Amino acid sequence: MTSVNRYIGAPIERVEDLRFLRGRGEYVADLAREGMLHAAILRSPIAHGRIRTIDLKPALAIRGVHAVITAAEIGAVPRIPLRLQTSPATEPFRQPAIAGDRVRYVGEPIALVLANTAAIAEDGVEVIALDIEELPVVADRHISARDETLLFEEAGGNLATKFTAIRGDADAAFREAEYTRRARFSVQRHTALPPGAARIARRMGCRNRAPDGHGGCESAVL
Amino acid sequence: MPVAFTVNGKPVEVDVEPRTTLADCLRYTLRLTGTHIGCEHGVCGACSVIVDGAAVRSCLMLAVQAEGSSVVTVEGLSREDGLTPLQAAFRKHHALQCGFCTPGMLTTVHALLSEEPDADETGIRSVLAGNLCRCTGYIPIIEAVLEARAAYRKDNKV
Repeated sequence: MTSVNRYIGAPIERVEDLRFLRGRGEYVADLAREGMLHAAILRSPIAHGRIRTIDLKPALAIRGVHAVITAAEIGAVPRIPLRLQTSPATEPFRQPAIAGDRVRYVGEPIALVLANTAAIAEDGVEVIALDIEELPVVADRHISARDETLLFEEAGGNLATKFTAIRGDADAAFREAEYTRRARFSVQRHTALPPGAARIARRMGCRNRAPDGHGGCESAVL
Repeated sequence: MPVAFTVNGKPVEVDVEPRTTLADCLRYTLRLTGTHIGCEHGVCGACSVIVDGAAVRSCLMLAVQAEGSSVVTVEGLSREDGLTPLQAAFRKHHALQCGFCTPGMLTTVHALLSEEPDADETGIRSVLAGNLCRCTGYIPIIEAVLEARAAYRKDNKV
């Protein structure tokens, strides 16, 4: 039995367009509730540092500011889960939802100001007196591997775990290859290959599923 | 500070702090949340509204500067039921997905086509260069605007 598909190949009008096109969408910032407070976040201006002192009093003194929340007020700060936690060894490196006495990236939340309006909350963020001692920045894995600067001291080092993956017989493939070449590739995004590596992967017979080489090729090359 | 102007044809009087942007005044004082605030520094175009016929960034204009002006937002370009030809062209060409940039696109395009109903693709692209869209890739938006021109040519009013 066959049925006629009304969707494939047909222009489908989206129901949500009627509100989006007439300014009637309801985004989070559009919500208004009785007694609703607005939050503004004080964020770290530096990549790595230790918070010496933080004075919230000037913010709390502003009329319309209800509260300023820091890690100290929260106590046990939740750690942000990893989307793919492959090993319990990464557990000590999970980042806190809000910085304690240490900041580890530019933009890390340090304090949350709650106020009657967004403008007052932003005023509160501006007057918080923050004194941060700058620490050496760990900008890549090579610096990290030296263990000179520990991001999570309680972990005892920057190395969480080591993964080893083997696929096929790479030694044999290199031995039998007409042409071999040694090169080092560097990429921050581990969902994609740099273009040079992707080209080589294709030469090695990998079939890319996506133009960026996302998928099996990556492990083959590595 | 008291300010009086018209919004979508209706006279309004508001009392705002001098530092209040027109965008915040529209959204939070007048509760016209169709105007969206993206970057808050004039880069993204999401907050574009029409002031005395010209498309302006409402995040770069203070509410007090609107004194005596006529302001039109996406709500003012909309009908109670159905869509205007410009909105219908956006829907037909899938010129929106999440809808966040859409009000700014519509106000910008409305101001353009009201003045230049024969704007060519180069002109349209040049004007829309000031409005960021992260969903569509712009091509459907250009197609929608090209089609919507006809409605502005006929009676010069949508």
